[in-house]
Amino acid sequence: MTSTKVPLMFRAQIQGRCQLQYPPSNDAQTWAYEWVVKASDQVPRFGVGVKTRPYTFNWRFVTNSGQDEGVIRPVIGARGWPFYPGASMKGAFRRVCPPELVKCYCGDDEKLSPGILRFHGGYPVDNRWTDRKRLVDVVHPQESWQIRHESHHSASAQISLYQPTLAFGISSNTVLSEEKWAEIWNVWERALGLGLGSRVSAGYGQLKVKHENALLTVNLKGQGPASMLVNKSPEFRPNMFKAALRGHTLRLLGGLTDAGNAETITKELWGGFAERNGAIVGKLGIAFDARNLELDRHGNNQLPVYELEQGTLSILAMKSLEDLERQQLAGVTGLLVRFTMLLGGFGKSWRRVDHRLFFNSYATQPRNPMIGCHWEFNSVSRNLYYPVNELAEVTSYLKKIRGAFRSWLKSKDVPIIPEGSNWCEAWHPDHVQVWGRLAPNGESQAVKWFHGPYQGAQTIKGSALAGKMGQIGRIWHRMYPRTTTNASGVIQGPNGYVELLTIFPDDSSSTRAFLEFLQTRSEFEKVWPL
Amino acid sequence: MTWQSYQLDRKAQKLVLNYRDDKDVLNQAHKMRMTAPYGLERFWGERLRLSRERNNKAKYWGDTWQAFVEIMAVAGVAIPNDSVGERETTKVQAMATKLWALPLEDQKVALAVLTQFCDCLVWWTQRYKP
Repeated sequence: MTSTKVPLMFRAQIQGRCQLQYPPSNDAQTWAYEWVVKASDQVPRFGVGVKTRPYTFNWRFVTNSGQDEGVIRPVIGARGWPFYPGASMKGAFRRVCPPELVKCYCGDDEKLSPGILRFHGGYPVDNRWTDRKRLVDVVHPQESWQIRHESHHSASAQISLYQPTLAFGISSNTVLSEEKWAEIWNVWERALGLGLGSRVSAGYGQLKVKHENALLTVNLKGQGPASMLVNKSPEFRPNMFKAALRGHTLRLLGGLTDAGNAETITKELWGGFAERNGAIVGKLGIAFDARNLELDRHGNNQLPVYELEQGTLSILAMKSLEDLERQQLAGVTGLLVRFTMLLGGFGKSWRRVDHRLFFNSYATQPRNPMIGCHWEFNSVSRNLYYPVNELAEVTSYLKKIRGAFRSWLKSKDVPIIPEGSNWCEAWHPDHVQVWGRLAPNGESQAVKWFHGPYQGAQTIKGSALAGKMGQIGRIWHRMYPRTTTNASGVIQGPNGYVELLTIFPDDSSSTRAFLEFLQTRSEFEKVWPL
Repeated sequence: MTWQSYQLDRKAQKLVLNYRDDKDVLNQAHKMRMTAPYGLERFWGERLRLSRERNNKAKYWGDTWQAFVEIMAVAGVAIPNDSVGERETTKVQAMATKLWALPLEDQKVALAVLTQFCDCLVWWTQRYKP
């Protein structure tokens, strides 16, 4: 056999032979092809007497096999089929099984006696998982780039199953009544509510079942540019919600305490890597259930865009929490979601308003790229909007959020450091300013300033402030749907918008000139810090 | 013809003893055993992949490969063993070509021996594990 024809799985996993985790090499695509093409086309079937139930995952599902170090790929079983191992299934079941039933169902550790149930694992119910365009999944951590404006960020490929339906099998060595089986499946569904496999806190391995561990459930709609897989196919990726919330956690904490503490608390909340000690499982995770989701293409470049009419974002407790901590975290996550909605958005291009909505003459030019996203709470979650009867209220909301994070840190005995961290986007009065205006007719004034002069020949286009390709700007722009309260405190709207600019000023003269312009010649007023 | 011992077990024991105090490295024997079915090239290449990590894992794989090459030499099978660095792509590819160019019979025997050798490593690891 010549070495050039050897399948990638059998090659040295180094440059020049196979680099599965490195997306530009395209090896992951080839690897997936070589895997799938040799897998059997027969759907695995459970043995006689095994009870099964199918469940469909909301988005992606990955169980790290742990076999190929340096790359995450599913457990692959007989005839090349990926599966969820029975032992893992038992573990997930046991974790949520009521204590009085554990010994009977799963066995007694002390007496070393077996339980009555056998867990046969989960297998795909059809061949849909073999769509190799979907198997290759790119993960791209951007935090240090976005918050600290460090230059290094790189994507890595992993292999995960896209919206698979798995049938899970359980059998019993004694005959059980229908009621007993209903109870068993009930326990299993509670296990599914916590998510299965790896990266569950980022929305992987989540199913359309009730999340008993939800701290907060939010109904949203949104539109914006969709992510692209390596092969350019579009995908709506729920992990963007966690990325946004985690990022703002760092920003807010980075304005209150030093970098080390901010990172530690953020990892405690959302998980992360712990240098040589592997990964930390965080206390919080997300699940996202998208309904009425459409993917489309925009402009000459055919860049993918999504339009989501209804989605449910659940913030989950990934560990069991004491009541007090549960309350605290529900409060903190509520503030994070509202902060994100107030000043930014979710997913790609979240620092800009959706140009199709607020700068249509730009967006309809076929040569222009798609810029910005727009998110709103759906009517069920309308009470999460901060009502803005007058602009000054935005000031008090921002004070309140920072204040709440401060007292939460104090309650955890984390020192408050007055100067905060030195990150570019630390949420600190010395680092950031928020400017706002009411836009009752729904028109944005600021959006044009990103594309042309704002006054005379003065412009921020392409400057360090506005950013450009490959360089993150220092300004966020948002049209926040405006609700108001009437005399009896009932929420009205949304009706019109509050236009907000969040600026992390650098010391360039063009930024100073722009701030001067905002102050003296624009409708915008500074709302934070005051 | 008399009994010829290739001393797989003794050589495995020696390797495990050399690395038993290195916590980062101890479990590599299990990884080696899992990698063996993927063939000689992947087993050989793992040392280069690991050479980026600042620990002895790469050295352990390298020493194991060296011992394996010596065992096979006694058996009359010459396993290619060029000195190659991680970034030397041409040499990596040349080594891959040499390994896959081995007669199929030799590859099969080599893999059977490698698998057995890894089983020995795992056995000793479990004995010496603190």
